[in-house]
Amino acid sequence: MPMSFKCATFIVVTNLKLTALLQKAKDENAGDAIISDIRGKLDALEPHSAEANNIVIARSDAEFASLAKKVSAQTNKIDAAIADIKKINAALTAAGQLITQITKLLALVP
Amino acid sequence: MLKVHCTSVRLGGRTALLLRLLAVMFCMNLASCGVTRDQLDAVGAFGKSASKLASGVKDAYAQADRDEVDLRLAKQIASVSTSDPAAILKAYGARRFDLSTQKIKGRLAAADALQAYGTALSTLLDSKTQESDFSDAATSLTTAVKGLPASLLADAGITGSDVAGVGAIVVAFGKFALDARRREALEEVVPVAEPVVTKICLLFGRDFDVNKPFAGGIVKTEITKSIDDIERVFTVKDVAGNRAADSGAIMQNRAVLLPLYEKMRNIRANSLTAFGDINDAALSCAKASVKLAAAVKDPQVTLDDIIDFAKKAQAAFDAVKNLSVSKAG
Repeated sequence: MPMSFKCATFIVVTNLKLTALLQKAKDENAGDAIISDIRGKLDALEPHSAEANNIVIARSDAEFASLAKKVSAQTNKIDAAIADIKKINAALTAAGQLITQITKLLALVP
Repeated sequence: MLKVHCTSVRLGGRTALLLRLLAVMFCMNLASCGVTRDQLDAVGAFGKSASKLASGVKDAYAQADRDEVDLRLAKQIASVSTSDPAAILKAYGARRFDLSTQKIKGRLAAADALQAYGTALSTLLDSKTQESDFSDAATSLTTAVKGLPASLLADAGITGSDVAGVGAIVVAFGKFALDARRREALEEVVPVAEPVVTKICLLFGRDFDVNKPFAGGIVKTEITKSIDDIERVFTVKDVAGNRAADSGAIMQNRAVLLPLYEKMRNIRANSLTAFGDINDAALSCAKASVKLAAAVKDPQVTLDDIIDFAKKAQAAFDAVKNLSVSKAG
């Protein structure tokens, strides 16, 4: 039976707390008995840890995915504005070229 | 800068009067613009920082995925409880956590979207590139106007100073048009994007928080366990079965275990620094995103949060860059 998300989260949280506790116990020389006790609990979770990790990563990934599309829609609007601004520049360039052509034509008029 | 152009317009005659009126109107319009130059620059800075944060986030996931291989290797060397090579090989093939590109498509899509949004914002507001493009176009136009035959200009009642005035107005109008279009885009997009951008930043903040049960917490847990596995076998404490033959008392074991131990400690130190910096930058991004939406509506809003975000995004970017460099070394 596949592991439920709730169970996976429970394992990930417990692992996180236990490893933090283990680190603290070592840093503060809490004694071999305490360290052994924490290790024993971590060992009990170990066969399920990798699966739990991947279930939590997969579930939280879906949250990111749903937001990505919404931002992209707004980015498209900015890109449209950038394109508009380029049009302003292009229009000015075109106007300059037009006047240059008119000037050349006028020069031909006797 | 725009006011200088506006006040420098000196014209005469009917055409001149019309042009002068237009110039005054442009100046008045500019004065009433809701978004100031400082704010446009702040939005540009936010865009660049968001882009930088997104890039750092993607690199950090990629690095964590590479680190996982080392963690798995350490696990199979230090904590196997079987002597069956086939079982060891099979266990080695199972990832401790999967942050490969196939498994974090949502995160990468969100980072890509944030990066594209940031780049679009900074491109929209990049006064150096767009205004230089515009300036080139305006120069070409005024040069063309100035090239009109003097007889034609005289017939139309246009003097040399009128032509100079046209140039000034073209520049003033063009800058106004650019700013107006920018303002329009910002007012349309930033408030709508804000809740989503803020949420993405918060999610990245949460994901890189090593004390929360998401990617950061999982990576930290697995690194801590790997280091502990090595310590256990090295000191022959709390190990399953009789592994005295694998202890650090034997020189060959030391030659394998100590470099592995050092590698794990480096991974932990570098990852925790980089993840911490990304977490800081992402939370700052969320704050700055909210302030940015407020600033687009109200020029009086302080921009300190955006400056703070810019600093933190740079720090996160540098930390991830250093992470990759130190791993490669």
